[in-house]
Amino acid sequence: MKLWKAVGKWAEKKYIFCFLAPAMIILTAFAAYITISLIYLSLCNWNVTNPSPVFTGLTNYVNIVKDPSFWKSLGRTFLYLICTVTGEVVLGFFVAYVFDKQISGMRFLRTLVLIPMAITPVVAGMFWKVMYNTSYGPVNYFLSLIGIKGPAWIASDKTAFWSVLIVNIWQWMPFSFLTITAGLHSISRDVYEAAQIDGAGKMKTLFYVTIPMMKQVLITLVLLRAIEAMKAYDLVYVMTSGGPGEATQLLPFYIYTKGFTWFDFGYAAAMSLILLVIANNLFKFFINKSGVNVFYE
Amino acid sequence: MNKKKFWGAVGSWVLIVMVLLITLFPVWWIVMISLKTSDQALTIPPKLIFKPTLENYRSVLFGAAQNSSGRWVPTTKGFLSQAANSLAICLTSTFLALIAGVPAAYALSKFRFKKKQEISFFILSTRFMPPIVVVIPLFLLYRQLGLMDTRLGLIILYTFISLSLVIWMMKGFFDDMPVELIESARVDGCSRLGALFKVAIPVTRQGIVASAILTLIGTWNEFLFAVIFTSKNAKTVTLSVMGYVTIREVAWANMAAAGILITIPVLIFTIITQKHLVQGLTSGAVKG
Repeated sequence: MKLWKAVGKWAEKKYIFCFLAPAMIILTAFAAYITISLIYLSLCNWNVTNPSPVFTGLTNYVNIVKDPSFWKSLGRTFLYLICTVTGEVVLGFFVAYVFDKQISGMRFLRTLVLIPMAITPVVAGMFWKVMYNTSYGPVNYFLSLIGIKGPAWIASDKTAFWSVLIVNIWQWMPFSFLTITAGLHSISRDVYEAAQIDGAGKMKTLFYVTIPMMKQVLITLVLLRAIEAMKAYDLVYVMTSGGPGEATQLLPFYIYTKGFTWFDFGYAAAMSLILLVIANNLFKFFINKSGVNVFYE
Repeated sequence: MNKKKFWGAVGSWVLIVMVLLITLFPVWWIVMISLKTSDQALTIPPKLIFKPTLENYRSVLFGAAQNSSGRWVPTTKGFLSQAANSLAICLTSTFLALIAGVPAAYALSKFRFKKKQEISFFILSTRFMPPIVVVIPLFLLYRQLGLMDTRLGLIILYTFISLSLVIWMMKGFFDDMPVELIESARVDGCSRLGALFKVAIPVTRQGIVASAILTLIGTWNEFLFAVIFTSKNAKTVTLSVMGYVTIREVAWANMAAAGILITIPVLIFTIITQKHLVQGLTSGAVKG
């Protein structure tokens, strides 16, 4: 009893510590373990031929720098990030703008747009793979109905990357749509009336009133989606396994292949560490530059 | 002027219909496949008129069966046990993430202390971490600790990945709560902990529900960790979809049925929480 009281008293005094401790302990332990073991492993040669790690210094990094697949995967990851985020946000804005009508029933239609977001990504990927199929997929069938001979989609190394990109945009545009719709609704009608009185046309209102007022929303949205794009893995795994050739091999998938197909753990760890550093600095830079209030005071 | 308005309205309705067609066609198509027999599933041109069957759902839920032409359809036995795994893993990790995350979010939102900016940023930065980066160190650790293919193994991982999301969302909700509520509770003799449990948590309960749902959805759909860290006993429901791919054939109709079954709970929860979802994820940048 006495002990309990003492603990209670101590907790009352150190309340901030007590509130933060559980989360911080979990996160710090995890982050520390991962970073330290990645550093250690990345300096080792540990693969099928060496069943236990052998210290080899910077060999893995030297090999990575000389590995064209690494550079291409990294480039592809950036391209993927830029294209998905742009596609999702621009289309999301467009759709939100089109659906921004005050008519009864609009709420229901808006909810319908959200449905792709709810589909489990792996399921979406599997079935888009069929939809893209050139012999029994409906996409090329419908295109043929209007007289277009569809491309080979994920079967060709020229179009595979863009095909995966389309699926990502299809699935996550609704999230941008949802966020932007909420943002549009938070702008008061008076603002638009004032703009109208000042003689601003529809386009002018959009670019000089609506978009500036939604800056915070849009930046947050871009950040959230960019973080997800950097993690992209599921779609590539189920749709193309990085192929054909290496056409859809994003860096996370390349790491996976090195680690779990070739069992070259040292090499995969080194690439993991590089990806971690890149992701961390990229988003830090973005947050500082954009002035987004992710943890605003 | 009126004519222009009329055509404008027509144009925007055409756009609306087109958007709906593109977003909904794949979903509709998966649903249709799940209601067809495996022979009809992928015919071109797509069979639009057919006798819907719930056979695929039955065989996904209750085990393999012969299809109408007498062929054995590959099924993953144990969709239900995988669903049970997913449910246990997701619920436990969401619960743990809330227990650790809510007080932390509360502290970050309502109190001033040293290094707050750094701590906030560190928490957020765990969210930048691409999951693949975690995989190799943990694969080796889990193998040594015997955590491979166990529910506990996934629970630990999912708690970790959910924690920053919970903190980020809940901080937004706590920010919206007037500080006077806590102050008056304190004046009435409430302890710090009491103020959190008796005032702050009840006031933000909608936010807590939204965070919980979003965490549940995220972990329910999670794929990478499930693929690598489970093989048999702790397999999650997302993986069941992959089970219909065999060397000989792909049982598309069954896969579609399984996919729909997995998606339904997520869909319901997404629709229920759409408002809070936005507010929470943008950390209050947008009020839902």
